[in-house]
Amino acid sequence: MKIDFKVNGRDYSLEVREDMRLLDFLREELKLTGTKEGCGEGECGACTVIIDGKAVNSCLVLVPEIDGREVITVEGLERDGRLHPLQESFIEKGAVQCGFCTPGMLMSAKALLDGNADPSDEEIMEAIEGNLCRCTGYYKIVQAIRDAAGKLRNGKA
Amino acid sequence: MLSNVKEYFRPKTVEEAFEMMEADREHSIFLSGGTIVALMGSSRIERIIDLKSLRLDSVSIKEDEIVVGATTTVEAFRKDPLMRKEFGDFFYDSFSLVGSWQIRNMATIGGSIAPKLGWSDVSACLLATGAGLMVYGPDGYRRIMLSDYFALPAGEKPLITHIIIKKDGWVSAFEKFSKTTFDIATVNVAISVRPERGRIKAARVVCGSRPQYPMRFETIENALEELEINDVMPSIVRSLVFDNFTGGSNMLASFEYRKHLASVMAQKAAEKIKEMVR
Amino acid sequence: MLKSNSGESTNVVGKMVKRVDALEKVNGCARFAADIAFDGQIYCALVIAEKPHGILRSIDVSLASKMEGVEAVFTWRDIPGDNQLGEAIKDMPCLVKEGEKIRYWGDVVAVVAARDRISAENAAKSVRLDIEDLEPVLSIEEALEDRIKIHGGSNVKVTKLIRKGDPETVIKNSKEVFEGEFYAHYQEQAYMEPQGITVVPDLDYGYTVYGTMQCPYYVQSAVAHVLGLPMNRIRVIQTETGGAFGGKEDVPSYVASYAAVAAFNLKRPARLIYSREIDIQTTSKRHPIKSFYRVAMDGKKIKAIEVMAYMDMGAYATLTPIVMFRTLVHAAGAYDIENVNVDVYGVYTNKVPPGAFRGFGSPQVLFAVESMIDDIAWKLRIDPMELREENTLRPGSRTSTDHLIVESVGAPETLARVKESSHWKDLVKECIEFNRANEDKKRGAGLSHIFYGVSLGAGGQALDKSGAHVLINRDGSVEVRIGGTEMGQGAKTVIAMMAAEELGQRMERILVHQPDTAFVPDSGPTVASRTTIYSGNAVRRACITLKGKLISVFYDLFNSRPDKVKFCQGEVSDGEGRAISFDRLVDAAYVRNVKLFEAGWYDTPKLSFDMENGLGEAYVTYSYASQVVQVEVDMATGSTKVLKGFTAHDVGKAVNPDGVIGQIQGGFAQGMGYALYEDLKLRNGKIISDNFNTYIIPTIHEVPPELVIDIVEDAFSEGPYGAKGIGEPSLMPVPASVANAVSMAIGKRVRQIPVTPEYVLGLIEKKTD
Repeated sequence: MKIDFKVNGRDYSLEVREDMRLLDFLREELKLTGTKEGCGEGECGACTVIIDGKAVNSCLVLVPEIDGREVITVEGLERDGRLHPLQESFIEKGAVQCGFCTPGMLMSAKALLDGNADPSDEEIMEAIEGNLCRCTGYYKIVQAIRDAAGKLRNGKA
Repeated sequence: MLSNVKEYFRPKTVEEAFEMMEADREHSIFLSGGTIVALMGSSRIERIIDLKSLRLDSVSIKEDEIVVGATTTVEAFRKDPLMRKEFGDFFYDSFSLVGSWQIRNMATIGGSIAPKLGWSDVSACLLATGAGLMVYGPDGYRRIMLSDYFALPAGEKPLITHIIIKKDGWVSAFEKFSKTTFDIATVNVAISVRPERGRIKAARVVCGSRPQYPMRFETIENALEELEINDVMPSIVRSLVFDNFTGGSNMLASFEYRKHLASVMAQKAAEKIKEMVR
Repeated sequence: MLKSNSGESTNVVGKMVKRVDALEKVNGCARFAADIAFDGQIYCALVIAEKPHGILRSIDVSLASKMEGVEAVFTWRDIPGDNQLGEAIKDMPCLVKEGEKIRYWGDVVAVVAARDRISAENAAKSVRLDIEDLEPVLSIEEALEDRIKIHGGSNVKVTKLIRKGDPETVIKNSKEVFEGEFYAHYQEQAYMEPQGITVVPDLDYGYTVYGTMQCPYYVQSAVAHVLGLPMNRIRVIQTETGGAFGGKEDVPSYVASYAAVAAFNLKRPARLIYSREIDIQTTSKRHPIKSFYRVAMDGKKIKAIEVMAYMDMGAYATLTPIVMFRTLVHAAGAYDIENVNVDVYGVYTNKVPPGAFRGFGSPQVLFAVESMIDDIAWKLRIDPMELREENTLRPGSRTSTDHLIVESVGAPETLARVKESSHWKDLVKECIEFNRANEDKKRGAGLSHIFYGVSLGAGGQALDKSGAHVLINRDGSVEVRIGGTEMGQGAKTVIAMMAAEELGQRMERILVHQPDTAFVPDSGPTVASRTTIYSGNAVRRACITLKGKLISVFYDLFNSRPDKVKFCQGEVSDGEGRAISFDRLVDAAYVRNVKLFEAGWYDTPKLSFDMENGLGEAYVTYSYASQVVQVEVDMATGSTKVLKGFTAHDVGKAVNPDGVIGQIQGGFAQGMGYALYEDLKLRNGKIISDNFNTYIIPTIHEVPPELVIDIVEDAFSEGPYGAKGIGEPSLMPVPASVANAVSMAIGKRVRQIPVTPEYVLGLIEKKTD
């Protein structure tokens, strides 16, 4: 079937398979391999993307469901070659180790900060509770999100 | 993963949706939140009927009832200002334990009830609040209790369109035991009471993830009538649940352990209710 | 010997830096195994036995071969080389042959090659295996009976021992003798990126293997072996690796071999990416270990210790003999004990073959010995902290293998630090008071004290060396190649820092490439927390040589005394006003035809060890750690929450302090998962907790809000800048400290890992300990 949608600010109008997972569509059809598959069943969060502002597991979304919607992936964070404050903070605070959970973490964090400029620690934890990380113990990830929130509040968009 | 899908429908009306399903039940599936459909490793499914186009995603108030569209997401439901106004933190807190933020952004209330999942926290909480459902079937719309929906025979599958919760002033609490915050419930308990002059006038006691689906325990509910809401009440609730719990064993837990946990969760829920009533 | 320059101040090493590999990981460009694609590639799927024990009577691929999208189905007949994957003990086939045995659920029988992944998986399900069932051996106890022999001979395939002093006599004559029995279960590495390999027929008429892995040289050797080709036809390039923790030490060799059979026969790139279920069901885990301890005390001194440890090594030996060596050496703990007997047994069972996992056979016995020490402290009414202080290894001590350690023994310091940071005595008192006032929740404070033999040890000397290749381009940019792999632990950053330190070039101008067997010879596996020392020293040597050449050029330009020339942050000067940028100095070297590339090599210090008696220098050095955790146990449900953690690690020198902290935090979470949440479940030899909905690892909600970290730097003279290793010691103390804390909270001794709620409830309800 034919659907119209937006990915990372770019408009698309394409013929798609009805039973394809959004994760596979992004990775294999649009060649956006930043979004990862860690478990295939919506448990690990490595496949997290943002659809119309909400963080969801793309391994559970079927492609037709994005008809008329806007999708953002990790590749869409940079603007005009400049890193998003979240990306900068993740680097600066040492919140990246193996990097496999990182795209999903960034998307959950972005969905949080887009709707809540000054999240409490509980709210940050709720936003990333569906993103498993095996390397960092989460501490520096939370610090990075807090740091980025501060940057965004101070006008560093 | 689904590999054989040939048609993807987006019905405009409930009637249309139901008819599409009836046309070929064996090879069709409703898609609501999508957390279940994408995981099906079936080549049997050839037709997907997406219910989101029905726009059953609002929460509104009609006299003394809150009416929730079946495709409202768990997260939207939980954070809805109207829900919080009428039910305080009950749904806000209870549903914060459902899956993860991503899952709650996708899973819908209707989609949580329809598959009759044993471990569904959503079902347990709604059952305790005496929720009703508006369903559409071969004979059109009708209103049934949530417990009736669970008791429907396997062949009867009406489409849930709305969940209706009465503003009846009952006080509710939910407790769930799981190994980590992310895991499904090993067992969950939801209790609702109508307090009157420091006593339990009536109660709804639900245990879920037994591992079977949530059920009200009428024996316990009857035993709680007229019970004074004091410091002893929670332990009475605990003993009642321990004595009357029914369920089974599976990979997550043995029956004995579940029974014990259910009684402990019930006590904690009763403690919460005691505090809310005071 | 390469002397460290600890004491001299450094410009880069020891400072706060940004990870050199973070940018690509945050912008989505990082390329993991599943992110690369090759023209004409086929997708592989595995046909696994799905039975724990049996005889493979026949393989019927007729239906599968004709299915939509299928190119071919390969079996043992299609293996051009040796149908053999085992390294230490040659007991493991690549693809099981008809007439041969099936020995565990995940035994691979065939490889399907198809146009896409779904076609491959559907075809794999259609391959018919006729397996005659045999009764399976599913526990250590059953294995020891030897009633059913899995490989023909005894199931007790490997044994190792230590005989030091005369523990038997001491124990017989001792008034204070204590016994204990412990069990530590499997643990799944649960790296976020599943196994994945692509084997590509390459330009040199051989094969290049790409994929997620820790040990490119193991993969090279295995694939050459299975394809019957000389090693010079196999090239291995590691892709960005999304976590490994030991689970990608030997397993990628197997994954690569399956894909290589397809690539060889089809002459096309063959891609094999594991689903999470296949990954958990078939690949290596932490060994289950059952251990028995007997300890004799004389006042506060541990006089003798006897240990018997049984390791479930599953269907094939794989890495077990090496893991057993580590279990052997660490079983008696980080203590100076005169009389030590340790016996370790590796037994076959019809289950998944365990292998390497952070700690490599040590966390299981450290949990046991630390529980014993704690138990003894209770019974003798001695403060557990004091008991450690009395018996800990210190400079001049002898380890359990009678290894005299004289330098870099930061053990006592780590104890002192956690005693201080946790306010140990106050913390214990606080728990006791809390417990007096509360019935439904109880708190406990647990202490653990561990050591870790760095690198491959006496048994692995033949593998323990590392190479490096450093090249400076005309524009001053530097390329560093090592044999060690980055898997998240921060190897690339540490190496870049050392190169920047030695060359004096800015870190941003230094690129550490993905490991590629074509450039650097076998540098050993990236395991055993050895990369900082071994790859680091190799890089330093190459850089020091290159710097020497640049100094000569500087002299040629300015006539400065060589010893006065300083390189720092991209600038070179002699302190007397003569200066030039690194880049321009390199250009000057270039036009003088100076050779601007250098190979580095570091060979392990030689260890003297008597394998017969388990005595001597077991490892080149040891790292140490001490840890205190506070837990709260819900007495009604048995569930435990870690409230606070305090940990101190002697790392010799923290080359990248921020990286060390990150590793300690991550190791803590993973160790805590093992201690409390990760309960691998099997049914008839099949792993049924095979995804994250059933195998539960810690989320953000489980880690304690407070984890206080102390880094102790007791320099190791052979280590670059005094550094040892942190990769594994970050996890090792955790199961022990958590178990001890729970024991204190409930007043009963915890004897198994994981400490599940159901187990705790059982202990609480038991009348006696």
